[in-house]
Amino acid sequence: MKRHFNILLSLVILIPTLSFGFGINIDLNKIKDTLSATQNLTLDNDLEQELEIGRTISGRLLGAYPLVNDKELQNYVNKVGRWVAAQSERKGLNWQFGVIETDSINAFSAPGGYIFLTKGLYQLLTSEAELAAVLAHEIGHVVQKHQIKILQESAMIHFGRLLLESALDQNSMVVDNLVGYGAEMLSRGLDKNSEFEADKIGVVLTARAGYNAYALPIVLQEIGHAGMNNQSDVELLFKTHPHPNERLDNLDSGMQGFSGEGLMLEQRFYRL
Amino acid sequence: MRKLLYIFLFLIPLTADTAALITGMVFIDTKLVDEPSNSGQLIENLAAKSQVTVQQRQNSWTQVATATNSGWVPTLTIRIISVSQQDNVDGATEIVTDRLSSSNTKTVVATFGVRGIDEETLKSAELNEEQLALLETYQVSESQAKTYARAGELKAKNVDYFGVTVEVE
Repeated sequence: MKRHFNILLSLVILIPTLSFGFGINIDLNKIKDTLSATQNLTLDNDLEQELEIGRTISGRLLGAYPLVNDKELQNYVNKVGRWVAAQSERKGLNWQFGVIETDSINAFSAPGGYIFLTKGLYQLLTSEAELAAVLAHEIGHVVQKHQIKILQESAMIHFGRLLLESALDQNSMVVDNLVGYGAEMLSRGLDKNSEFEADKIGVVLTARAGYNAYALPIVLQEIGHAGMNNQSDVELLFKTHPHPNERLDNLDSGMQGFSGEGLMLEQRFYRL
Repeated sequence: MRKLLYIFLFLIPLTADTAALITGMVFIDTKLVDEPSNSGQLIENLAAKSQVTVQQRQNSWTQVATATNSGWVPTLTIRIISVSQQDNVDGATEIVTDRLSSSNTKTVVATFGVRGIDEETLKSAELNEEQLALLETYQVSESQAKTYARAGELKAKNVDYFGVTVEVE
């Protein structure tokens, strides 16, 4: 990462020399701000920046899909989610959970501890353990900072391109750009290995919270079947996601270590 | 261990399944029984990788046909390998079989579920401060969450991660 940064810095120095002759207006301060913000993002412990990015991405998500207007539901999801998050290595984050108003079947996380699931996915669930498992998977992404890692890579690639194209007269600042990537990431997703990793963390956090560790495999199975019920869903599923079967296979060997103890709590599950 | 999976299967009420012709594979040694329950009578022992045709689902049990018999197996023991409609082979089948038969090099995937959120909708969405504020009102403290967990008789356990390295901050 540092090497890339040095390359970019060299470009910053070179480009004005090359470009001024062509009358291209380059705002050196903007370059400086941009690169400085990108560099800051590479610092692993920059919690403030992580929160800011997470908040902005979440605000955009909520701008597109508002929260389901059901206080009891939202409180319930927060109680379950916070309990699961408390079993993680980032228990101290300002965790916030929400169910968003769309029939799509999905769940999301944004940096800093923002977790969302869709009403469509929630309605597929039948127990608190399954809800916990879905949230635990998303918590896993935040614990591993999967989004931040992708944003760092994207930012470096993006700014490299900007510099080469001398397109620095755009008004967008670094966070805006990163949020753009965040939006894309929410809709296109993370890499497959990140998903498998989050599945494994999800199973463990679910078990640590006292729920049945098999809740996540059960949800994956159910999602697979939901996909089978509708061809268009299937198409989208296989275009953009690892097949639930593939995810189950990936979990398979690790599940041997779980005895199947733990609660499902179907009775307490808040039904919509 | 696998048997423990079965114990929890009955906990999943599922809706009736698609009418599409679904071919599956039993991925572990499984008992084909005459009714959708653990007390069903054994019809046939299915070896891992046996192919079956999926007929219908009832809660956590799936009725399948083998070359010689029809009976029930726990849903979680089946992996779907192809789906086809009566009249034509549709795109979904291709995608399913392709997915299962080849190593997949696609690196970008969505976060959890089936249907994606529309990328354009997200890109064009404005940040909604009101909704962010509302979200915050639903937030609970760790101690509130603990109290709620205790009310449900949930007990925290020590469980180690497997197959993944998690850094402690």
